[in-house]
Amino acid sequence: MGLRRRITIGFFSLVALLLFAVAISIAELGRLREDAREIVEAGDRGSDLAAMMMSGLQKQNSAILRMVATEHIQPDSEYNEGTSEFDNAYSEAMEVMIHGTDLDAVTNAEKQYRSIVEAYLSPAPTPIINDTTGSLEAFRPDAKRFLEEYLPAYYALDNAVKRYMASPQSSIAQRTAMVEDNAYRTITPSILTLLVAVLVVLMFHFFIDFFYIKPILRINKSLDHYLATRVPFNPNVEGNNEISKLKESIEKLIELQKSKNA
Amino acid sequence: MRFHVVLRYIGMVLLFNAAFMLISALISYTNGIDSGYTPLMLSTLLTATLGLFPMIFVKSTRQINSKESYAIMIGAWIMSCVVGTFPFLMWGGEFTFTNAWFESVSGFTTTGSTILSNIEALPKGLLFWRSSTHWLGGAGVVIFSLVILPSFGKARSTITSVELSSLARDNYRYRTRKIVQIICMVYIGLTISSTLLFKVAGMDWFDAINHSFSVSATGGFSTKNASLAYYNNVWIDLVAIFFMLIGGIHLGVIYATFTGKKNNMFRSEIARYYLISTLIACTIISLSLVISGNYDSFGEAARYGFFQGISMVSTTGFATADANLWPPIALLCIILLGIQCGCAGSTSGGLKTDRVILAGKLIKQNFIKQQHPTAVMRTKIDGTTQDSESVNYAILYIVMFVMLVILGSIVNTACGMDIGTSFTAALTWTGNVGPAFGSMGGFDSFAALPEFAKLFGTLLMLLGRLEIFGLIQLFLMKWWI
Repeated sequence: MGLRRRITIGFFSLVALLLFAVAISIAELGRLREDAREIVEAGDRGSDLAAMMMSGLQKQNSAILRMVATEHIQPDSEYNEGTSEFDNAYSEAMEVMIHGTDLDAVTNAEKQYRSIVEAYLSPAPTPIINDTTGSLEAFRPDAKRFLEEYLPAYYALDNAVKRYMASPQSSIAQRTAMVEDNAYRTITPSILTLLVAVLVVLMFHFFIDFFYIKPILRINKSLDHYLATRVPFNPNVEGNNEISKLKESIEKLIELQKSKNA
Repeated sequence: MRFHVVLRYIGMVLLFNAAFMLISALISYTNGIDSGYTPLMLSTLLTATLGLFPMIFVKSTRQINSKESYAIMIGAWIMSCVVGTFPFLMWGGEFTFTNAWFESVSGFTTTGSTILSNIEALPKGLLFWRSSTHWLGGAGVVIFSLVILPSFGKARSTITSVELSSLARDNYRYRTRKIVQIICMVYIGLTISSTLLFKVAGMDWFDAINHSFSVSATGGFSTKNASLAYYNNVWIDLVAIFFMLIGGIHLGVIYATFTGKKNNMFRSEIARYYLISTLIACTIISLSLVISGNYDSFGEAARYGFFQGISMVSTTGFATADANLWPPIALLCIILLGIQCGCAGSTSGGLKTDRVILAGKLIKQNFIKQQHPTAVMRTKIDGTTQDSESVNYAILYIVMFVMLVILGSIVNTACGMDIGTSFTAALTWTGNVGPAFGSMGGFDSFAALPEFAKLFGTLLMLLGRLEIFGLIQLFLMKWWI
C-alpha cells in the first residue's frame, strides 16, 4: 500500500469516526427527545383519561342513586353512558401507562365496585334473609344494605382514580430517573466514539511522524551535511516505502554527480 | 523498543475481541434484537477500528524481542479490559464507568467478582459477552490471537514465553509452537466437553455455553443471580466440580494425561500435591459441616463442601451454598485453598501450588542446612532442578503477593469495610478467585463498595493476573528506552 493511500485511509478513518460520533449523537438525541416526549404525553394523557374516568364514574353514581331512590333496577341511558365512558378511558389508560403498577389500585377498586353494582342490577335479585330471624325478608334489592356496601366501594374507586390522576406528579422522581438514564445512554456511545477517535489520532500522529516525517527530516539533515562538508550521505531510513525510495534516488543522484565530477 | 510493532500486535488482539463482540451481537439479534444489540454492534465497530488502524501503517514483522513481547502482552490485557467496558457502558443499567471497568477487568482476569446485583436483567448478548471475557482471558488473550492469526513465525515463541510463568514453562516438555497448540486443544476441548455435559445435566444450551466458558477459564461469572445454586441439581454440581478441578491443573499435564504420556497428572508431583491437598481440605470441610449440623448426611455435606472447596482452589468462584454460615474451620480451609490455588500453567490464579511446594522445600532445606552447614543442596520439582533465579523469583512473588493482600486489606478497611471482608476481598482479587466472605459472599455483589475500593480492586486483579512483576514493569520508565 502506498504512502498516499495509507494517509488517505488514515484520514478517512478519522473522518468516519467523527461522523459516526455525530450520527450517533443525533440519533440518540432524537431517541432521547422521543422518550421525553412520550413520558410527558403519557403523563398528560393519563390526566385526561383520569378525568374521563371520573366523569364516567359520576354519571354511573348519579344514575345508580336515582335508581335506588325510584326503586328501579333497570340501568338507564345515563348509567350505560357513564359505564361506557369509564371503560373506554380505563382501557386506554392500560395501554398508555408507563409503570405496570400505575392502575393496580383503580383495577382492584373497580372490580369491587362493579361486583356490588352488578349484584344490585341483576335481573333475579338474590333473596334477602333477615340476619336475626333467618326468615325471608324480601326478593327486591335492599336499598339500605346496597348503599352500605355501595358507597364505600364508590368512594374507594373515586379515590383510586384521583390518585391515578395525581400519579404523574407523584412519580416525577421515577420519570426524572428515566430521563437521566436515557440521557446517560445517549451520551455514552458518542463519548466512547470520540475516545476511540482520540486514540486513532494519537496513533495516526505517531505513525506519520515515525514512518514519514522523521525519515524526511533525517534525509534533509544528511543532505545538508553532505552539501556543506561532503560527509557521505547515509541517513538512517528503514523500510520499503516511498521515503526509502527517495533516499535511494538521492544516493543515485549523488553518485551520478560524483562520477560527472570525476 | 519498536512501538509500531507493539501497536500492531495489540491491534490483532483487539480484532479478536471484536470478533467475540460480533458473536454476542448476533446472539442479541437472534434473541429478537434485544437491548444489548446496539451497544454490542457499536462496540464491535469501535474495537475493530482500533484494532485495524495500526495494520494500515505497520507491516507484519517476524522478529520481536523480549521487551516488545512484554509490552504487547501487558498492552493487550489492558486494552482488552478497556474495550471490554464498551458494551457495558453503552448498555447502561447498573454499569457506571467504575462498575463497567470492574466487571471487564474481573472478566478478563478470570476473577469472577461482579458488581451486578441483578445479573438476570442483562440481555442475552451482553451475558454472552460477559462470559466471553472470561474465556478470552482464560488462556491469555495474547496466545489466542497468536494461534488464530496466521502471520507469525518466530514472534509466536517470544510472546508465548512471556505469557507463561517460568514455573509453568518448565513443566512443558514440548517446543513453543507445540505448547500453543496444546493450550488451544486442551482449552477448547475442556470448553466443548463441559458444554455438552452441562447440557446433558439439565442446563439449556445458552446457559451451558456460558457456564462452560466460565468453568474452563476458572472464572466464575454465571448467568443467574444465585450462581449454580439456581439449578439445585446434583449432576450440574458434579460436572462443575470435575471441570473446576481439572481447570486448576497445568494444561500440558492434562494433555499428557489424556494422551497417555508419562508426565501425566498422577505422576506429576505438583498435580498430585494439588489433588491430595484439595481432597484433604474438602474432606475436612465436609466433616465440619456434618459435625456442626449444617447438613444431615455426609453425602449432602460433601456435595456442598467439595463444590465450595474446589471452586476456591481452582479460583473459579461459583457458589451453591452460602459459606458465610459455615463453621470457622470450614471457612479457614476455604481461605487456605484460595491462597494456594491451582497449578502454574493452568488458568487459575493465586500463589500457585508450584510456589507453595517450592517454599515448603526451601524451608525443609533450611532446617537441614542448619544441621549440615556445608551441604550442597538442590531444589527439585518433578525431578527438574530449579535454578536459583527461579527460586528467588518464586519467593519474591510470595512476598509481593502477601504485601499486596495486606495493602488491599488496609485500603478496603479504610473504605469502610469490616476487617474480615476487607482481607478476603483483597485476597480474592489478588488471587483472581472471585467471591469474598462477610458482606461480599458467594451470592453477593461488590456493587456497594466505594468507587475507590473498586478501582483498587481492579489494580489488584491485573497485578495478580500478570504475575505482579509483569504489570510493574510497565511503570518503570527505564524499561521503555
